[in-house]
Amino acid sequence: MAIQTFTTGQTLTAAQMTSLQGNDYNWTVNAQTASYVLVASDAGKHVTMTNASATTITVNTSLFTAGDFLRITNLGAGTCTITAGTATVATAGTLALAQYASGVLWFQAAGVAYFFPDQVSGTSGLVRVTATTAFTTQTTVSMAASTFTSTYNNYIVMLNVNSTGSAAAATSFRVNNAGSPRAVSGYYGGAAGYNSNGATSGSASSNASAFRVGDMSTSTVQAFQINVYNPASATIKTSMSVNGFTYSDTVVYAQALSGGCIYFTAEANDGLTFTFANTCSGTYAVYGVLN
Amino acid sequence: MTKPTIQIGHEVREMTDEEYQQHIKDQSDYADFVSEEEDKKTLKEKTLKKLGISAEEFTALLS
Repeated sequence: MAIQTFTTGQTLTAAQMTSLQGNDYNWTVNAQTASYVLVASDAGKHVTMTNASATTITVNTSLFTAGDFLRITNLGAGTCTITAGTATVATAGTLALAQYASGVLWFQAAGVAYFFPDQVSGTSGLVRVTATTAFTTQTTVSMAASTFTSTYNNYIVMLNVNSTGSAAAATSFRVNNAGSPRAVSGYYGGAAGYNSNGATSGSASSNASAFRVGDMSTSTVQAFQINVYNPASATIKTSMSVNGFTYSDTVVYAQALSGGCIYFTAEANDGLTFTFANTCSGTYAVYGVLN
Repeated sequence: MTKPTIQIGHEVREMTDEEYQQHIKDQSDYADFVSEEEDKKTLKEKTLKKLGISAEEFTALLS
């Protein structure tokens, strides 16, 4: 039940009292499915967001009074970011809520809010921002727009790939700007492979339109940890380093990979795109690293 | 003609014309890469054959 305003002489009914008391144990839910701007009646409520893509919850001034609070929970797979509109919003943790992340928004004044996330206890660390996301028989997989934000300095991406075809499962990475893969030239990097048959191999990307790794020709299983540095900075070039492993059960052949790449244009990037030479299935998850 | 699909976040849809053109270019680039690698491998094998030594012996010579 929303906050009630009682006037002098008004009778408080048993039903109203029961409802008000009940809110202590069963908060009124304001369920949202698209980006949302908080309204005054959200004070004391539990605002939930359910959306597979990235969303925002905007906080404006002059709607709430000092001492008001509300809970915000992200139930969707897409990151839900609490955004300062005309109010200020500070936090010791993150304003980007991964799926099932939650916290309390408290107003010190009408235009000054603090968000107390339940799952972060410090000012630095590793936070999952994209839960494990599966893909099936795709040649191109992109992260949702705004996966990388300025909330974190760096990101770690865990990528598992299974080739579902008979040809190669060569994997390449691109950065996304405003949700669109940067397919223009400018990727400089190399990945060295150390093979189980004693040979070495390499994948070079010189002014290429993507950073290619995992070129083992009949690879069927690939696993990568991709470190992405400063992707949300408009002034620092985005760079990546990759550790990986590929394996083919058709030729009983394994390869350990390591390499790095610079995207040679300084602009804010909000995700990665994976491309495969053959249709692949797999999963990825994204973690934010706050220095 | 049905184009391949692309997955963005959890959404799976058919590629746009622009995405499809990029997909074709990616496939072509990869085919070129494989071809170049094959050419390098063939050249190496021919060279070793002319020299009359194995790959292991060639590595030993360089060490």
